[in-house]
Amino acid sequence: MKFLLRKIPFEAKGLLVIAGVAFILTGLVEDYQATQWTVWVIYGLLALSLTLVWGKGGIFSLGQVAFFGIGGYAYGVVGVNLIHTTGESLSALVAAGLLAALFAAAQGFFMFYGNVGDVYIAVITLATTLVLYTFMLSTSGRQYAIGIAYLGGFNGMTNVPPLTLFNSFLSQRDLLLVTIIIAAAIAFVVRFLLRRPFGRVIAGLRTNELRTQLLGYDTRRYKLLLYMLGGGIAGLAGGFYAAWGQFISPTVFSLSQASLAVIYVLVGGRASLSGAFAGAILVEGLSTNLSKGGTEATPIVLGLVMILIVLLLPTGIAPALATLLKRIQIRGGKIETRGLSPLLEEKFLSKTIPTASAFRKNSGRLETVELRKTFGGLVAVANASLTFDSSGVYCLIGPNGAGKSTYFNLLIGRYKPTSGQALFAGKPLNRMPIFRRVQQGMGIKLQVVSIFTELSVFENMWLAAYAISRNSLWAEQQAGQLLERFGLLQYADEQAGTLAHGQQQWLEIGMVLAQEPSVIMLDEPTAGMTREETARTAELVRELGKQASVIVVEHDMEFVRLLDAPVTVFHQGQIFAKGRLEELRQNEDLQNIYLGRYRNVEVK
Amino acid sequence: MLKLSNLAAGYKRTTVLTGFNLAIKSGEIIAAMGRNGVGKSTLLRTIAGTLPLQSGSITFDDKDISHKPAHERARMGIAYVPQGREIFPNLTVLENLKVAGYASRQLDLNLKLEEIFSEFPGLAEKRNLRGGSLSGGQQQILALARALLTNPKLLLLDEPTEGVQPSIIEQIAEIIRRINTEKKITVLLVEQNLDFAANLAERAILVDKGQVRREISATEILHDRDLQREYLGI
Repeated sequence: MKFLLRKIPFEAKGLLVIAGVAFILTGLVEDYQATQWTVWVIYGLLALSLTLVWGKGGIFSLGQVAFFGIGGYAYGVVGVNLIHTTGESLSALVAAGLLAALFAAAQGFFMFYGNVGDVYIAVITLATTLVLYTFMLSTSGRQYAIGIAYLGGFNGMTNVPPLTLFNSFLSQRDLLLVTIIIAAAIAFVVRFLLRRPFGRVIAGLRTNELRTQLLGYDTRRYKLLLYMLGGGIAGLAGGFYAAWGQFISPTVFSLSQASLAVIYVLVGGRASLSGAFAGAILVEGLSTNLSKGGTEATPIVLGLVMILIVLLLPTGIAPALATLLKRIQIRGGKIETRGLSPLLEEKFLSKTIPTASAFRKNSGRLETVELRKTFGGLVAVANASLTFDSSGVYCLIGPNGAGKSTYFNLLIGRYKPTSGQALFAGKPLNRMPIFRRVQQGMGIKLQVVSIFTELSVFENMWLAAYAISRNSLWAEQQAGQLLERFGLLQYADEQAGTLAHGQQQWLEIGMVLAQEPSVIMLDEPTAGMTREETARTAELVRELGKQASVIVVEHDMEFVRLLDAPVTVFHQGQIFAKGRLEELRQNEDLQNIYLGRYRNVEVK
Repeated sequence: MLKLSNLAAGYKRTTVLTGFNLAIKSGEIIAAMGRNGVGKSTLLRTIAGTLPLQSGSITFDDKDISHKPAHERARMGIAYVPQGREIFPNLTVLENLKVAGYASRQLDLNLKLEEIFSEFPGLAEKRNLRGGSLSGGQQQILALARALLTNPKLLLLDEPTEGVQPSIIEQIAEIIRRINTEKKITVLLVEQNLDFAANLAERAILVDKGQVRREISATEILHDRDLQREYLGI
């Protein structure tokens, strides 16, 4: 029995409790209260959709109300047409969610696959909302009808049917009950999803998008999915809204409505699901009660309260309350330390864990043929042809501006070559995005430490392992092993950003290794390391070179000497010399390049 | 005049300089040399105050400036010419100089400007051209002139020969030498161009892994191939 109870996720239990409370509550309230509360919960659902997209995913959708409005109109149009034929309007609600999600998919596709910057996403989403506003205002003519539903221009749609359940219209109280239950169900489904691998990838994406790509995740796809989910939820809220007021008008697309959604989220707490509802209910409750006094001061008082909340509780109301509760618990000695944070549900699914070899990539040689990159008139890399075997260490060196970093970025796919090509195991890489190169077996570590500072050390490692295996259990095992190997197991539950710099470098190298890559690309791995750390890293790199091909860009000659590997020297975008470090030391021209005597040295 | 004691500095959690000690005498030209990424630019930025100290101290003219903000250090007489010069490309030569003049609260700015223009006739000719239209060498001279407007006692130069045609390099060396002897301005120079640095400076420090490894006379490094290999070349 106990085991069965444990098998039921927290979310399902929570939903039962909320449904129970809501059932009792709706039996007690007055009708007018029920009406008011319903719309507060609906706004909460809208806020939840923004929390998901913005707070959890980092996509600042300033025009989240567009989906709310689309959902509202969809419910209106479908509802009006349906109610006269089938006599129900529940499916209109489903249509509201679906249509809004579809619209989000279309808009999101252009934004995310077009690599639009963060600021522009805010502008585009808001502009879309305002375009919808203007468009809906102009639909007052009789010709603007879908089936028997007139859109009604600035008057809106006035004959929207209320929600039906089991073929009868819902009373105000029942509507409140249904709204609460559905909103809670959605919130819990979202919470559940965020605890799943999908949620971790989303968290990674928000913290460090480049790193997420470098681990081999198609971030565009994840963002699009998240955006669709958010759009669908907002659309559903809009459907409820239209059913609640039996009315929908273009004002849902207005600027003030758009900013209200953002305010709910800011007040409640940007990254808190319960905060979405807390924020909406607080803001709406406050403005309703203030306007009862009938004074003109309502917007001013409301505005002041909001500014105060944002200033004093920058994380929002809900997280502030949670911290307070935690403090009380600590005083009572109730808080317990967590162990490793596994994704609990998977434990009960008892899948067999595959061995690492299942994910080991086919190895092959990496080569570039006449690879060239120009920026404007500047030739950064001029026709570089190099071959790297499937194992061994290779060093790329050169003075400032020699082109080695550009070459590195061409190999990993951050730059597209101007001409020439790169091949991996015979396959051309040229148009392949970063994440796909990683899926092919490339492991990439950039110069500046790039980890998910807000996530735990364990989650960092897990995200790396999950990216190539898509198997949560294997990823957990792999992450645990690598943390142990790098001496980081004791920090598993700490935020990665709190690690010392050297440890962060090791964590990132560990993340690359967790992916069992066949080609490892390291850009100045010893930057900021002490002599001892440098020596340890050299040892590790040499060890790795026995199984995989390791390409290292470095300035530190001591490190290069310790690696004892073939060296390629770049100068003015060209491959100037190749050989062992001792041989290159005898090269006078090369010495002169390093001493800044550029004019004495002609490039062949 | 400038003393760095057991300095540690860097970017956020990355420590680039550790246990860095250096004393600069008034009136000298000293060169900090080393390969890419050893911490030379970090050194200049830390002295200028655009990077915070992590530990240790900096004294300038016997005053502790370890935690003084960059603009106060500039007013005390530390002028910093960053790598890549960072002149304002969309302002004219004259405007570039005026901006520096306003910031250092010059009362007799016009007088001072005329003085600068007579010193740098090349700039006077181009006073109404946009900074961005100047060649690399001219931009470097503009950046030097701009630094001089603030009446500095110490001039921090980060790779003044970078992106400058060889023919202009000698001219820039001449200007720096003149600034040093005539105006008695102390110069701390970061360079990768060995010949340029060794000809200009009396003394050089060799930097590696964020620390001063050697302090030698500039002529010494010019003739010691092993030292060059160890700290500058490969």
